[in-house]
Amino acid sequence: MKSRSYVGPVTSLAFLGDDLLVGCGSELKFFTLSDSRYSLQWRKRVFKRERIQGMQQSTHTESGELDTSLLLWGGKRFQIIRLSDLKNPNFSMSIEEEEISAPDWILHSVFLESDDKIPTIAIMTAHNTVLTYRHDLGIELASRYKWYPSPERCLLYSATLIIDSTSPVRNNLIVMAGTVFGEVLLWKLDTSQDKAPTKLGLSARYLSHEGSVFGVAISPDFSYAASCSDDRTIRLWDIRAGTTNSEGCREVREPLAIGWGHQARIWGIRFLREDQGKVRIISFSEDLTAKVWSLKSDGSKSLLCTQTFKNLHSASGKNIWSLAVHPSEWRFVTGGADGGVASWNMPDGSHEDPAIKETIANLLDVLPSPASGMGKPTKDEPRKYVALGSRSFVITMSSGWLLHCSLSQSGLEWQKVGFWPQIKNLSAMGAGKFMANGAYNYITAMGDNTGKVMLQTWCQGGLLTTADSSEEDWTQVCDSRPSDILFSHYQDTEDPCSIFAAVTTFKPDDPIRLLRIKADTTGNSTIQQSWSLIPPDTFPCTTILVCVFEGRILCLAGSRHGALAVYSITADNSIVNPSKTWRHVHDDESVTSLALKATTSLSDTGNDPSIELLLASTGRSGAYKSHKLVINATAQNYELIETNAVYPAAIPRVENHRIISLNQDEDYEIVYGFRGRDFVIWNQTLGLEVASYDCEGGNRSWDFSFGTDDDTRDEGLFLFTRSKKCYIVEFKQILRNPLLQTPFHGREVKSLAVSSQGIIATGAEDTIIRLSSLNPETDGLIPLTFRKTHTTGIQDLVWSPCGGWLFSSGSVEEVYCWKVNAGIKLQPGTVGMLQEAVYDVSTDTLPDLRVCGLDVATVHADSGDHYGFLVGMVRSDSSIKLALYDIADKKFTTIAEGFYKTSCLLQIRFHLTSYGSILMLTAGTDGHVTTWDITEMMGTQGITAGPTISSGSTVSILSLTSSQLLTPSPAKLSREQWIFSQPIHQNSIKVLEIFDPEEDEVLMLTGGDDTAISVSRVIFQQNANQPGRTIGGMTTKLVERAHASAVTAITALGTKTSDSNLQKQGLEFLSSGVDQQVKRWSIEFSEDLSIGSVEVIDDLYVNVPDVSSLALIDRGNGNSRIVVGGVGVEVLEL
Amino acid sequence: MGKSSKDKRDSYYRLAKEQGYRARSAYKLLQLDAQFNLFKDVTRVVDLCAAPGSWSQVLSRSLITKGKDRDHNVAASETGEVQQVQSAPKVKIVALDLQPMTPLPGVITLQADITHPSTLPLVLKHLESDSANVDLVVSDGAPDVTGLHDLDEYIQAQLLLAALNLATCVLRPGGNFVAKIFRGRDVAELYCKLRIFFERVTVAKPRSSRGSSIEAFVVCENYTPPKGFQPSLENPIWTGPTRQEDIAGQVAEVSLDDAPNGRWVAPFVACGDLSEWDSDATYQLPDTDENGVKRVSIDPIQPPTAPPYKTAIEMRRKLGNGGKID
Repeated sequence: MKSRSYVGPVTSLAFLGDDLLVGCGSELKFFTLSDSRYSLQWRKRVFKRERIQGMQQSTHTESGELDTSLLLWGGKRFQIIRLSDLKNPNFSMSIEEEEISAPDWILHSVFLESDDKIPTIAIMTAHNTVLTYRHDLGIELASRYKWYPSPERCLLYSATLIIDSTSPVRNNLIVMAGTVFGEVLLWKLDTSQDKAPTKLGLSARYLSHEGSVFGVAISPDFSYAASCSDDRTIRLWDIRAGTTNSEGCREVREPLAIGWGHQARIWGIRFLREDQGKVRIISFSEDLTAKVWSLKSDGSKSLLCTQTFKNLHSASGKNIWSLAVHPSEWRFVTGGADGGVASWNMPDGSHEDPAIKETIANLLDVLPSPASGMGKPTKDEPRKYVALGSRSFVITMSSGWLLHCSLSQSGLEWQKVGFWPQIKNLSAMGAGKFMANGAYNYITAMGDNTGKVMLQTWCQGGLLTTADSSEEDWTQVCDSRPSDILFSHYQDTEDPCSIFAAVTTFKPDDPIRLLRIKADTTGNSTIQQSWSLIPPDTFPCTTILVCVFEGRILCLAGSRHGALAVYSITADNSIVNPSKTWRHVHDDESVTSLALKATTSLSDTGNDPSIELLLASTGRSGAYKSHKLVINATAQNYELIETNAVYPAAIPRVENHRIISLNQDEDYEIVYGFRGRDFVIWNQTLGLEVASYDCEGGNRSWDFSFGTDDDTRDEGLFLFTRSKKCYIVEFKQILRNPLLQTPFHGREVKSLAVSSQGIIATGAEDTIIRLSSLNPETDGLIPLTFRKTHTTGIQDLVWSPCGGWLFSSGSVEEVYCWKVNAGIKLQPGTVGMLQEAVYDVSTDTLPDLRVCGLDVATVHADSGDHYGFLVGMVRSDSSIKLALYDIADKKFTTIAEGFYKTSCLLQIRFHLTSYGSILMLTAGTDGHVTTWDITEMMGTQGITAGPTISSGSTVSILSLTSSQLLTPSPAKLSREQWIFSQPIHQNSIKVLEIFDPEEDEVLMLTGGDDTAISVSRVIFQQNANQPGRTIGGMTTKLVERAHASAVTAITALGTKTSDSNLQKQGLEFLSSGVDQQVKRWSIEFSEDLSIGSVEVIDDLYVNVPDVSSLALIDRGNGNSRIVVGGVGVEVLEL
Repeated sequence: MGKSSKDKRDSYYRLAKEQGYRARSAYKLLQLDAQFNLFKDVTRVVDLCAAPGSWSQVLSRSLITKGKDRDHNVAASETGEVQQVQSAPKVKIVALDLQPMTPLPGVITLQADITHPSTLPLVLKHLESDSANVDLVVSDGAPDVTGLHDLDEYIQAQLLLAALNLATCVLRPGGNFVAKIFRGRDVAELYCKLRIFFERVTVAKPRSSRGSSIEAFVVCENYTPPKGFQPSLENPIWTGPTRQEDIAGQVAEVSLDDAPNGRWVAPFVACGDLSEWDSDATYQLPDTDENGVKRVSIDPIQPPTAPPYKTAIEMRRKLGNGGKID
């Protein structure tokens, strides 16, 4: 076995000029910067077992060439490597020979100045001890070290070593240490002398932290020290404060300043350059933030948090483990527990934030003075906004004035467009855009309270014609006061000047007036045609989409109550009834946008042409959804299929979305909306927040537009009113991708399952389910999609045998069914994941009722059609629930329930025998495996073991003999159904796998907390005395101490050939556990098929603590991969 | 090892409150004793990392208290209602912790650092002994885990090795040592080191310890130090070099005849009867107890020690704004 790829916590980062070194597990990665984007140049494994916890560099000249030496450390190991060697693609290193063993855990290390070319370093250990090491490979290891006495031996969590550049003595070290008991220690050590001193004293002891000190730092000028702690504070110290006691040590109990604000433990701090004489610090924490602090100049003894970088990498999980500041200090990078690495801009007093700019416009300066007699400016205020792209906008004023504003480098350029008395009582306004002469122009429509509408045509610079403010500008469109004017954002490439808009009124039964507008680049846009769309019952229209294809006009409308309606529009009929209405598409919440992603003609020939539209929609339910609308033209039949639904947790109220092409290959799905007081822009593709702005909520007059032209597509313009003032917020760099390395789960993977299509589903303690695929070349994980729907950590995941459905379980009785829609090619954005159903929980839920294990079997209806699945659930209160999942009704029905004993159950597996019995195996914390014969009980519900279908792999099918369940209430599971209950392990059975080369003779593999692995042959046969009942027996071989700690994962590799003769072939399987070893085992069978030897044939260490699962990806041709899940994921080659 | 979303109030938590133990961990020691008969003929015990004191409570109740209704009696005496404790004259229990600990009847509680050389004479003084004659050393100490598994396992191993070093200074030959251990990636190295000092090393998982937790307990029986071994807190072993000459030993692996690479896997024993409560299980408790009295929530006997972020929470409350500071 060999490691192929790894994703896991990023524990160290360092800049080398603009280039970046990333320590991820045992792997060192090198990124270079070009065109303001980082790209991975190489990755090399530098330790056998350790994570890279820290790195230092030193430059030196060798035969005229400048080179850099790297010092990398982790645990009790370190490496000294030349960067030029690492960069050389032909360089190969033997980790085993070259990694150097230190006598204790290393907390920090530095290069010392050396007389010769032999590198010398100083090492700070976790016992507050310094050792020097001279990298002279000619002498034995222990003699390369020099030990120095410790001023105080105690256990540390953090330390930093600095060479005192102000000292006349070379290699004089300043040592700063943070102890597990909250003390910060300062001491000095002269390493230039040949003889180590016999005794050393502390220089200072800084006291007041109320918890372990996880990070310490010294300012570049040696004036200040800073520490951060378990107590959620940062403390800044005057390094020289305090008076010395008799032992020469200063005891300081008063920090210079304290910084409060992190919500969890703070892992590290760095000093930044002073800004206008103010000390500045950056910190990173368990709470997923980085904060910039500056010392208040008011002498208040507090550090002010000047900037917070929230939800770095991903909005879930915990822990930023590493941070490095770019030499320019305008940027920094962070590395997280989620394996993500991201780069952030760090504006300071002299550099403004390039991503967001706020302007507050005083409109009183813009409007005519009261002397002109028009309006009363003192009472005037902005009413409605329309953003025309990202660099201009239009405002209507309560006085009746219409204003246009252009944004440019020099500021705001206002134009008074004109005055219309109708604008005073304007009730609706909307805008659409059209392409003309290679640039976008805009049409606005305003509706007054008599039902008249005025159209205006704009370019970015302003109105295309001069306004003469006449009554004739207004055209009667509807009979009553319009409530909204909704533009369709579909662009007909063949007729780009044809634009559709819908005018709605406040009367619920009024028809929706659909207008076809002929846009005119000279400014005289006109209404070309109009229709009355009859709304379905209770259908206040909130958004429309009009598509024109093959001479047909199709209008889709969304309602305030989550419904969609479709209208087929022809030129002849001016009154159109809905062809079909779908309710609750967005639950009962407003549909906020509709867009067309693609159109496909399913069959161009034949008598039954049908067209498929791929749609995207957003809703106030918080959802971003994809649908397939299949239209059968001849039959006038419409079918709407939801293919994907995402609820971006960062935006509970989704307003709209846009798919923006980054380049030819990459599209970003950008969603925007509101979260509490904040307006939020979210990148759904990357799964991270682009920007947020506190606008005190979305219940006010506002508008947002993305930039429309190529050079502004990275921009957005957000407008709103606060205290009668117009706020203009410009967002830049919307498409900026801060991620150098894509994040994975923020906490440990608890379950991992691979579908028959090769989709890897992982569920973690961070409550997220992720779907990934394997890159065929690098074997790295390609993230496909993720869902944060569970409210508790994931317990188990099981795919349906067909791979179309995924079942997941968590605590508080959560069991969900997901429909996974994947194309042939697994790519991000092509895999849909819908939460189809939730298993009904009992009304009297126990707070800690975990659903620990799941299994799924396919069920066919008696017609042979796929009916659904039998879902088995075992839970922590020893209960078992069996449910039938109906894929048509998308509903679970409990068909059987009962208890095992009182101990927690962890595992469940179904098994069907050749003679038609339905069996079930369960296991739990009591170490027993229990087999159940549930044939008879399932029969009472009308379920029998069906035929076995062999299509490549064998799939066992259950049959539902009638169209519905025979008894409405669940059957009882009880001891009567036990075939046998066999003690195998001393306590928890952490994994149970069954491998059935022949159906009535099963090979069962289990792994336990007791470090043992069992291999059992289980034989089932019909009871001669009780036909239909199964009797069985098993022989078990127990391998004790199979791993050094709990065995948590086992997967069978199968026989080497298709020959099912076990005796000839034997069987191989893999196991893993908390000892982080993956072992490959071989089972030999003796002539009577009893189990002979069970032996380890391969053994590999993986950098995945808390291994919970193993899965095999069989790519054929002996090209299998093993995916190991725990804290991170490692992919192995067999 | 990361904090789980599991509800912490399991059956042993409730049981501890009902029986007057300061923490549910008391049952771990009780179940270890039931399996290994650890308290047999024991008169001198040292409890390391003892706070809040549930293991000392078990020691006190098992070794000192005699009487028909001993559980009730001691529980009452700890709350100060009944002062009369009938103790066996010879038994000495010394409990050490860096944190202050509420006194327990018959237990000498000392606030001291177990790694500090001055602690040894202090312990011996309180044992009224000038030689190593302790029968049993126990340690339930664990760090607050950070989530970096290798670091957490290292810190836990250092706690265990510090306890081992003290144990080698106070244990009589033939004495026993019980300590909490994290069964992580390098646990086999620790087992191997312990085996050098004890005839029998077993790893035990009491049923009261959750299956989802990495913790287990090493039970080391029959202390038989290697020939010529000099126990010392000035120069402890395997806790980083304290002299130049220590380096050679600490960069190399230890080895045993049956574990030449320094890794040895201890035999595993799950202890506690299957009929006892399962700490991983969720129990449906009736609303009333066997006497028909409505169950009420009992306050913890010993409130948990103040968390390090206590002041941070108070600060946040003072500042208002829903706890948000920025």
